[in-house]
Amino acid sequence: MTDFKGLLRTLSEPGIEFILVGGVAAVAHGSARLTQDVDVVYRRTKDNIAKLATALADKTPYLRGAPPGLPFRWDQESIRRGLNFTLTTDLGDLDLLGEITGGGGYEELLPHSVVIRAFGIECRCLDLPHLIHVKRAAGRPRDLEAIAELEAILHEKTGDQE
Amino acid sequence: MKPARLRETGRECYNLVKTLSGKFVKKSLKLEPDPVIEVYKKDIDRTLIRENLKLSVEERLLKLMELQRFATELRRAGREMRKTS
Repeated sequence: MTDFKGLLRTLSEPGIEFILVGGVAAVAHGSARLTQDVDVVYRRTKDNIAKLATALADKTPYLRGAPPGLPFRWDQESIRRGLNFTLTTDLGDLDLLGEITGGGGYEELLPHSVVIRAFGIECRCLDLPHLIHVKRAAGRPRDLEAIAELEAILHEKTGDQE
Repeated sequence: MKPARLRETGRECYNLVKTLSGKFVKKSLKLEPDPVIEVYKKDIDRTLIRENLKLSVEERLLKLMELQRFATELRRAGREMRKTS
């Protein structure tokens, strides 16, 4: 089971720059759908990568779905050489994304993010219209129902005519 | 930031806004209806959405964790049942 509070705290407390996207961002906006992992887009600066490496080092990060025993090392070098990491950790599944389809990286998403507060933590979350935009851009059939729900939420919030 | 120009790409329409650094970013995203999504939208339970919107972000995340616990317990019960049958 995923410790959402623990994962958000682990990322927020050291001052890691990230934006919450995916299912947890959808829940933060009002979605009723179940999600298992936390998806974040992280800023790929040297300083931020160093903070990420340190923050997760004691949470046993490992590549999700990979056979056990691979020589995977969670350090700055691995993060710098890679881009998107789907990880298992002691706190639950965490997707660390350098870029997302239709959204780009941290810098591109930042103007489309909002600050949310939960568990005494403040973090950035992709805003609702852009969350819909990136889910549409991903073009995955399994997202169709989720997109429909997010659009219905947007309608409920703004009162726009459909 | 001030609106610079409007650009349309397929089903989406947005303003291109010039930032202080001179870079253009997309703002004021306007989502055009997608006929496939519109079909799915008919089955969305809006009462659930309205209830969720009454909650704080923290309450929504706590509810998600509760739901996850429930799903885990259901899976465990299913495994037990298969073992005994």
